[in-house]
Amino acid sequence: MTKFFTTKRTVILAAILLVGWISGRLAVRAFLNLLVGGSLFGGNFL
Amino acid sequence: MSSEKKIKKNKHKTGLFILLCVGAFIVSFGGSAVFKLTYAAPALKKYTVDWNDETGTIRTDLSYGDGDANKFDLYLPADRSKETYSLVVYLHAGGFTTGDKSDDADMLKWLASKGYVAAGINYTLRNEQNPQASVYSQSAEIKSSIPAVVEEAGKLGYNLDSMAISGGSAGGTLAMLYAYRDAAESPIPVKMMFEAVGPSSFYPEDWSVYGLDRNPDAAAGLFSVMSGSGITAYMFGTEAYEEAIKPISAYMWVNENSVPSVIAYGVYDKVSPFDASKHLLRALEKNNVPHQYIEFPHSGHALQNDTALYVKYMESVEQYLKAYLPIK
Repeated sequence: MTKFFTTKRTVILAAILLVGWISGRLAVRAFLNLLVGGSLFGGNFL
Repeated sequence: MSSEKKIKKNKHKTGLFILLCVGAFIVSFGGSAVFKLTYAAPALKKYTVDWNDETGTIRTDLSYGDGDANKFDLYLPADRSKETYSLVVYLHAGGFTTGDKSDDADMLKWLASKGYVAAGINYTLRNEQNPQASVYSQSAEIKSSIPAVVEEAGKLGYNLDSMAISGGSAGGTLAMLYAYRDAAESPIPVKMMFEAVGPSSFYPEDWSVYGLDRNPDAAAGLFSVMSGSGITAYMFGTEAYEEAIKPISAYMWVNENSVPSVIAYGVYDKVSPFDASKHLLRALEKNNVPHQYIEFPHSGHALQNDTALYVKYMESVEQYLKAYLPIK
């Protein structure tokens, strides 16, 4: 029987979680910047 | 197990994994967005107090005039033993058209918890019901409210002998107008002012975020509404314009006797143009007015992308309060 969480899949899942986390914060920042102004990078982390 | 069955099982597992990845992305994205929206920096938590009877009491909707909006709230410190108290007024934001004194309850509670009598004051907003309201009429209302605030606090056992005035955005503009234009007529001496992102000057070239630098008629229209006086495009660049806009241009009232000030502006501000703040800074520097100017290089109107500088702003406010409006 083969393992479901192979090393490859674990790495892919971790990468997706990280990308999702960064994208979520960036999306909020971009939306707020659209409303009131602001730069996409610099200052606070994301 | 036959090889066909094995392939089928592997395909099923791959499909399941793809589904898991999509779900993980959505959860991570959503969680991160919520976290970003709700996270408060630990350094800012001390500016939010747990309000209870031991901290103080709140009196709401006290009147200072005949208008529906002529109301104020008083946040009174629990310690009633002092002979005199200092007042800190905080005026709400909202582009002169929306907002309410209750929006700043956290700030007012924090000020009262420090021992100040804190006041949030409403003013008549410009809207369909009040098409005549302007920045000038609002500043006149604030001016008329202070004697009533002082009197009401006195009736409640808090004798006020000095004050600071402050606000955010539109409230910042009104706070500056009171501090720089009207302080001499204040019933109690104004000792300092703090504000963030309030416009203090109205020149079309500074208001490029609205395209007013390229459209003098639109600029004249907006500044007429704000000042409550008739401004035409032909007036820009003339002395007549300077006279017409002076009543609402806080920077024009700054002189060597102006009160110490803490001011904060966002470089990318899309609502209150950053360029409009440079006249104020220049006036404070030219007149040697003690001031702390904090520029937020990555933020807009909400000062949202430079938390470390927002902490600095609040710390500066605390330092100025301690120096110029010390708790007795």
